[in-house]
Amino acid sequence: MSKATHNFFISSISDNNFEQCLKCSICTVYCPVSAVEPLFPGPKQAGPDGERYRLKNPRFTDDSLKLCLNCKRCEVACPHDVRIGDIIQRARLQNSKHKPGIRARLLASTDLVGKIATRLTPAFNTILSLKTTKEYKHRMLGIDRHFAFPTYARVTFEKWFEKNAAKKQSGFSQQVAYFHGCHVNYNDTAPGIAFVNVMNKLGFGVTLINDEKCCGNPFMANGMPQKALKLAFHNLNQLRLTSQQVPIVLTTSSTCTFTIRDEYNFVLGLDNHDVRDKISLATRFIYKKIEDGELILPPVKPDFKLRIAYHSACHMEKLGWSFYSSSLLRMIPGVQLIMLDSLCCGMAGTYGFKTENYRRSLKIGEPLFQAIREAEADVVVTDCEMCKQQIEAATGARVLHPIEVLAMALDD
Amino acid sequence: MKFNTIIIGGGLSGLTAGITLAEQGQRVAILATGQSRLHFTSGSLELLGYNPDGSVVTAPLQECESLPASHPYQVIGTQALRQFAPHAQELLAAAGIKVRGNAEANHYRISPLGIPKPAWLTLDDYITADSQLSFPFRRVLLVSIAGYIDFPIALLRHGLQQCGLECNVAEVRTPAIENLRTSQTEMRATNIARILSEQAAIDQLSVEINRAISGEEAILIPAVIGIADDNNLKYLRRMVTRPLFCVSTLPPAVTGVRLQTRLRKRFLNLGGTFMLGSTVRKANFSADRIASVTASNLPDQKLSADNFILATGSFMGNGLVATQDSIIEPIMNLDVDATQGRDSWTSPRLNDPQPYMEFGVHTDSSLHPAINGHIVPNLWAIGAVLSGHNPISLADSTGVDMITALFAANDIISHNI
Amino acid sequence: MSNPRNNNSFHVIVIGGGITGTGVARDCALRGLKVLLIERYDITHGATGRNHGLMHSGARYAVSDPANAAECMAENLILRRIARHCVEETDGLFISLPGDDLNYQHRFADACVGAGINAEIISTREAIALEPAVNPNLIGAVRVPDAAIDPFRLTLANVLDAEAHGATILTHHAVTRILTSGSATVGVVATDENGNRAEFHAPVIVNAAGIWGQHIAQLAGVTLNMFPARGALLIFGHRVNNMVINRCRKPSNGDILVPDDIVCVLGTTSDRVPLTEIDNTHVTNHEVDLLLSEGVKLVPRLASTRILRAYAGIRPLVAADSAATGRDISRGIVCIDHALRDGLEGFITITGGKMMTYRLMAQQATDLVCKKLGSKARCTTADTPLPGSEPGPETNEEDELLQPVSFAHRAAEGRHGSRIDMIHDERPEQRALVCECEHVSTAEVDYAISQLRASSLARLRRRTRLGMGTCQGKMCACRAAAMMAQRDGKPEQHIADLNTFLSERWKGIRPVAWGATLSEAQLSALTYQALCGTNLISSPTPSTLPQNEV
Repeated sequence: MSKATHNFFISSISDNNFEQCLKCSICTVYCPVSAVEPLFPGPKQAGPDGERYRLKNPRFTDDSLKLCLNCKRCEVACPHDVRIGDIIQRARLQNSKHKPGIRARLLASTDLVGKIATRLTPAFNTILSLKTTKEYKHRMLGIDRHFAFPTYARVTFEKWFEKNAAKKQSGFSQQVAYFHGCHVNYNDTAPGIAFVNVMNKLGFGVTLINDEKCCGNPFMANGMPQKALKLAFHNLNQLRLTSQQVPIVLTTSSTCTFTIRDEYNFVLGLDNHDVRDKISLATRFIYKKIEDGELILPPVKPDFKLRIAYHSACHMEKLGWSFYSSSLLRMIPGVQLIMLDSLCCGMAGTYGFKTENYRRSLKIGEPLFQAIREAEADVVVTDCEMCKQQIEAATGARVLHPIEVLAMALDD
Repeated sequence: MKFNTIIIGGGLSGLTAGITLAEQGQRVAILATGQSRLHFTSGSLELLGYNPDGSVVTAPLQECESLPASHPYQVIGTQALRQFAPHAQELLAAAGIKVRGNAEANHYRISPLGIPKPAWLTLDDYITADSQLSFPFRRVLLVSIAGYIDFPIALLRHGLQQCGLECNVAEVRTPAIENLRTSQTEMRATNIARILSEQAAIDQLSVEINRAISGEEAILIPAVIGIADDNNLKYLRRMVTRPLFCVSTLPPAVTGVRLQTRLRKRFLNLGGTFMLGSTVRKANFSADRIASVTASNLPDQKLSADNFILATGSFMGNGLVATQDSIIEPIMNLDVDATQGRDSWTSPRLNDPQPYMEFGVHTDSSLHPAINGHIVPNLWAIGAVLSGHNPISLADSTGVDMITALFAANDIISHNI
Repeated sequence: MSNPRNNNSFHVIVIGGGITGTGVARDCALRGLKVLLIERYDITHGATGRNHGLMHSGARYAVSDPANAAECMAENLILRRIARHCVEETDGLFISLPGDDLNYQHRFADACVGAGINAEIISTREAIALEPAVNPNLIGAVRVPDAAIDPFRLTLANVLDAEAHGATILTHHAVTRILTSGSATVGVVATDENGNRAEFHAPVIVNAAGIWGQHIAQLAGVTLNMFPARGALLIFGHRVNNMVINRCRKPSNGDILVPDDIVCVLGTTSDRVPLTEIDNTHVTNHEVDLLLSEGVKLVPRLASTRILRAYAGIRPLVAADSAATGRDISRGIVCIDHALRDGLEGFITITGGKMMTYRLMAQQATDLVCKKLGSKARCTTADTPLPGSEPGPETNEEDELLQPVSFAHRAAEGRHGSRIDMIHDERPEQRALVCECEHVSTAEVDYAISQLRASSLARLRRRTRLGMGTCQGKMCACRAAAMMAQRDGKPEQHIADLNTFLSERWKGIRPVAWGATLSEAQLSALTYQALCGTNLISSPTPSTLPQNEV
């Protein structure tokens, strides 16, 4: 049946990948930034076109690259698999001459700031919400005063786990490891707690990664490649160690997942191939187990009814995994699912926090917010914690993680 | 993941097949590397624009009879063309795309250079001429947007004059659009369309257009309105004092994006699964049939189905790949119709018919491709990946896309009953 | 020295608008002569626009022709001064690969030093550190002061300076007769593309027509035996190397890779062709495959790099023997006073040489012109910067962070040097990019149209790089044609020109039309032919098709 095997796609993973660009400009149609910000030259120009000049002289790296959200929608739209977003991020990290300021450090250091803040909650939350603090952040740090900085949890997820869950995990015959991410640990522990509950109900014990650190994405986004590299090295090592014991590592954050799987390799240039496929989103894991007949969804609460508007986050689009989360939600009796057109919310990690980006960020998200208002759903569901932040602030809608919905449905 | 039919390729042909199958209740997935050739369209669809001898086709349904036997219309039988041409129009209408024209007689669309080209269906809001190349008006106001360089106004005006129109040009600028002019690259049709998706911006535009109007009978504007739907275009038409029509621009094409968006929406509303960013790299066979395919971004996921449709396009869609010395269908290494030797792929004169344009997957009369001469019975090839047609010298590409898609979808349905 | 009497009378007529002819025209003009330059097509149309863009250090000829090598090195240093904006100081490597004779490397390095070329044998590790693209299996490397030079810019700068000093440049006119009086030439008849003829008079005529010089000499009734040695080259989509990479062996096929602006050029072949074939610059698949297989040995990454186009030029070598390839023929300068050689007064041929030594060639020819005219004016071209290369304020790279608006400005500055001040891009719409691949702004196109007489797309391309990039004119050609039509009110002419331009681009794409290059060609055809209908514009006849160029 088969002729000799061949791989014509090999070139798509070469350093010359941008050569495949046919200058068709389709990427520019789907860039959420260039539609609202004329100073951003667009993905084609900032990516493959600019790259030819940067190869001649790095002086052709300009500040406008910072305006890129790293949403990768250009890559998803590209008919030729050009890694446009990666080209832009790499150029930015390799050629940036700016020293990151206090704000960048503050925004990027989710781990450090989280550690301090959770010790000091609720005082920290009060301080964060004070008008004077917002004014200070706005003026001195350039964190927009309009923005509700994420509040910090009183008890970190790790602490909660240690106190409430750790002991009983060994009672399960099957085990999964959990990379919870900074947001679950310090800001919003609910998806983490829901994850442990759901996995336990499905018959899996949960192990945490030993000494998990920030995935490094905020450091890449804030122009600190060295910090990001250090974290990536650390996490890869920890993941390798963990996976020797527990080969399946699950996550609830689409961005952490995407960063470890793709950005470590494509942007930071690290070899992560042995770790990459061991990491999966919890929704994908559960969906596949059910599909393969290895798992049966336990009965849900009889009166469970929820009208859900599902928002596919940018990095979910890039992963191509929205199908898993939305299909899993569809499997839950009582769920009415509306698929929102996949549009960027404008937050992009810490981008929307910055004073100079705040208005642009909301403008980028406006079509999505409009669609959410029109959907008249009980809740918006998304796999991304920062989309949640932005959507809640901009629309007032209640936003949940798919695993939280599953936990609610299974609750007894 | 298990589907009734998996379609590889999300352009016009893939979506047409997907919609048709989903309408019949099939569970369908479309896997697409990225966005499609629709982004370069003109606002018109073509069934057959020119005969092989270069003469203009006036009656496509009749003149298709003289196409060579290798042409997809002949492969599936010209009866199928008669049967499915009206379906195509209905399918577009159901997706909210209103078109003019029919398969009995071509009309003319007007290119961005003002050159008339024969067309089958044209979006309702575009300028067209009848088969005698006559327009319902003679004096037109040609509106250009200051700073927008993808609308070659000086050349277009000349072309329109050659068509017998009297043509005045008015350059308009509005505050909403002005902001975009600060971009050195992004004043593209689609970005202008995003600005003009706000009614206030249309209001500004209509004021400027009405101010420029003097004795003209009609207004022509670049096709830069209506990326998701044509509501704002309708609104502008109400706000201006003369009949208003669009002229297509250089790519990216706003109407192409609209076509893509509406067809995709229609497919999703019918319950279809559309996976963008998923390049199919491999098909897994069970005996002579495809059991599943594997996509680049889901390497550990088997995507299985009973039927598969290959709608990957020609070279620019990577449906075909030219290496230094051979032409290949890259996913399954299907048998292709192509000449031997790089010299024979192209013609030295650019405007002569280029042989490579007609290269493609070889199929039987049911559009089943083959591997080493063995038919793959649960695979259909449709659209630009097929051999034997030429989007330029015959002006048949969108017709081949839709008609072969409808043919394959109906073949699948009839076999699955 | 007599004064020319009228508009058709000059002190000297130069035939040929390549780098030699324009160099002669400039030198003559700087020395106060009234000059007319006549070119059959556009400037740089011949071999000047069809070479490597390599600024030799002379190293390549150090072993075979040390005198010529020393000449190259001296001119190399001069060009770095007077043509700064045309030169990129990349340095070069001569690498030896497994199987190459390392004894040759030593002979080579010694010969370089003998010719005054600063060549240094370096370790292979050092070579890889300097130029990571180089074949990692190399066994030896010599570093030499090679550089890259842009022939279009260089020629244009000579034209601009010649004109600034009173020269007349007449392009798109072929010299169809040489007028003689007794045993002296006295003028020429030039015919334009529509067949209109005009007579021009001058006591001295300089034949700087390159390979076509044999034909010009024939018109003057003297014999000149040229040796047409054809060289084919490939342009790759981006720079894979930042230093010139040569193979350290006796010159052969595909053994030089030059980084030229934002592309790189691999060359060349060398084959004798009959004189009847000198206008045929079609590159064969065989040539492409040969170059590629050799180039990949120098830089393995070329195997997966997209090729934009192929082109060929004819070296104007002067026949010396019956050599098969022309590789052994001296690249030395040949300056013939036909009065001495043939008894024909007033006629000079300047040929041979290299682009590298054009200035010296011009100096020698102009010295002879002056001698004939009785002028004592001295040559100043070795010290007078070309327009665009005048000394200006140094930009500080350290604290320079480019703003997005200045990206195209910076690209244009690279192309026009200090003349960037004449490009007005203060308003936002003037910064809009016409050519996105090469970052050519509306302002630069306007400058080229108004200041550089870019009246067609091909002329615009040679003056700005518009349409030379990855997509070979997919969007920019139409945008620019519309701009030209807008400015001169001749849409019919520019629509036809658009078709001509696309046809010319296709000639160079066709030999390398596979992979992404073929996909790109298909997309371009769908845009221009299917969407716009350019294939319906009356086709130019083959004889009027311009030749393909860089």
